[in-house]
Amino acid sequence: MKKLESSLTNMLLVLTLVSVVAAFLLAYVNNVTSGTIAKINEEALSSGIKSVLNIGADEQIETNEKPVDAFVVYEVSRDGNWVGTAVKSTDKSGFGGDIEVLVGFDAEGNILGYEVLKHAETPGLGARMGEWFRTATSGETKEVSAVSKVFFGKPDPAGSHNIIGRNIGSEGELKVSKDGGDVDAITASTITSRAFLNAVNNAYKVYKGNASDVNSGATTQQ
Amino acid sequence: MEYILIFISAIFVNNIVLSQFLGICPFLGVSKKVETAKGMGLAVTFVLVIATIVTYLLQIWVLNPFGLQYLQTIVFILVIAALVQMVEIVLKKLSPSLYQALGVFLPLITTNCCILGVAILVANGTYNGQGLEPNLLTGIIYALATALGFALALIVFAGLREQLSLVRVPKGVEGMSIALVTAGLLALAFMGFSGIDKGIALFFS
Amino acid sequence: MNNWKVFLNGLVKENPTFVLLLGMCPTLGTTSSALNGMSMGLATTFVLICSNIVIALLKNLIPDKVRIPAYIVVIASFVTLLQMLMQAYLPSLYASLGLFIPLIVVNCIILGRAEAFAAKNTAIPSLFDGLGMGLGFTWALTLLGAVRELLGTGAVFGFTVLPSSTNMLAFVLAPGAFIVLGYLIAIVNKIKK
Repeated sequence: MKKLESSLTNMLLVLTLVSVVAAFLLAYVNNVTSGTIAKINEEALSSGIKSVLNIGADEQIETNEKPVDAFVVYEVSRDGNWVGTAVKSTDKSGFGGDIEVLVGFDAEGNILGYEVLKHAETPGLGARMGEWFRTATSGETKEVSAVSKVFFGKPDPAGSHNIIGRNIGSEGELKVSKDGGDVDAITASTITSRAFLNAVNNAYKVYKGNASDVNSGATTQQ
Repeated sequence: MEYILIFISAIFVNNIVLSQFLGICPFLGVSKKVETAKGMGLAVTFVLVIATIVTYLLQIWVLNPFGLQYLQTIVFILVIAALVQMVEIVLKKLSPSLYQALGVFLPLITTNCCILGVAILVANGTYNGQGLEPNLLTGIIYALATALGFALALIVFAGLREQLSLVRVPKGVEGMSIALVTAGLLALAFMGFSGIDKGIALFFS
Repeated sequence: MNNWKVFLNGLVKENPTFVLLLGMCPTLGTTSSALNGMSMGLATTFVLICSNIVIALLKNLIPDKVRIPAYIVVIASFVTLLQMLMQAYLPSLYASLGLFIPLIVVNCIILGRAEAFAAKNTAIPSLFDGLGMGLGFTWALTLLGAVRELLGTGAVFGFTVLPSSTNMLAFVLAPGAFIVLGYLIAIVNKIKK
């Protein structure tokens, strides 16, 4: 077959044709996948809620969703009985941008669990927050030389950084040790840790119904 | 204040090339001489800001209202390609001297992924706006700051490579290899700025 | 036999990463782990094969002067297709590759192969060219990711092999990407000679 000439009609015709075919194809695939994508997002949220409230993955729960300012409160009940509340909280002062966490509380306001939903923190540093604040520490510090600090990084601190089971209402706000608190920041990621704890503190205030007290991120650091 | 922070963050802390890895091709390709690096930096700044405005308005006025978000990639890349052509024609007519300076770089810009990358980030509102609401103004500021960061990295790197071409290096690492290692050291140096934007925010709060 | 040669060409002799130095943004941006590097490579391979075949089939229908925009539309469609499929069926991978999925559109390898190969050949050789180039890109990214992951976190594909005291975080971060790629290219140069 001979190649089509580059006349104006040919060019317009071909470009339009290619674009229209592409648009229809994409519209079709979008139609097919959008249901699945919505379902996956929903499942991710519901499994997140279950995990922060220590509810088994295959148990049936009812969730009552209620937006409060920039937060979302999920009142969760099983067989008609309230079992806990999860709060979705966003902090804008993370190292790489917004940090979105889901925090679960029981009736006394104890933290049952948390889940980082969205973040843009550095892998290997701030991104460790998903595990860091729920694991107990090894309990021992290793003395290391300055040379190995530069090349291999500082060893993780020996103090406590587990926030599960803490109660912000009776113990006061969670703060990193640098700011006079008792939570050890992630090694070399104080900014991420501050933002994360601020999100958790705000989640507690929203859970208690004091949404007007929340700190808006950038102004909270001392 | 936040606007200044966006500049500091996008130029030094989260430099588009040295920490976000966008626009690497021109970073490695047109960095042999400081003069060409300056031209490329200027051309990218110009196109990036215009492209961000156009694609943002398209997203808000056309794609979002009609539920066509899935056509984002295809529409944006076509808009950028057309825009580059248009800028070329307009510049040729209005400012031949500027066209002389930027002309050779304009065709290269279509496939510069930092343009499409920033356009998508701004349109989706997923860039680091230092706590400001993502809107057109913040988007433009962010785009401008990012472009200046690109230009800075490119010009500094070109300066390093000019020096590098004068010294003898082992045969195996000649050319791109040593250039990449140099870029790595430059990125390492830029890591020294990490956290400086938060520090300034604290200082003024 | 000829197709086999075309396939090997992309895999070794004209390896897009180590020899042609194309598509550097995803090469550096997504290789913080071996798995991410491999996924990005395979995603690019998918788009490359599809766009190569379609462009080879359509090449006579597209007038010369509008071929670049037409190719871009074809490539962007496949990228969007991939984006939607990944979002639906591989959501965690989609989240970790993020912005670099839509940016496959501006990966110079794809437009480059469309111009240099698919526009001059028929569909079957174009398929092999896409496969070879794509897999060449994939193994390069996997290797780069594996080295960075090993040096940075002491693991390969998530399996820990080195004690945590030897982790050099800089290799997972931006500077490590440039430096490791620089030395890998030097090693490839050495082997080729």
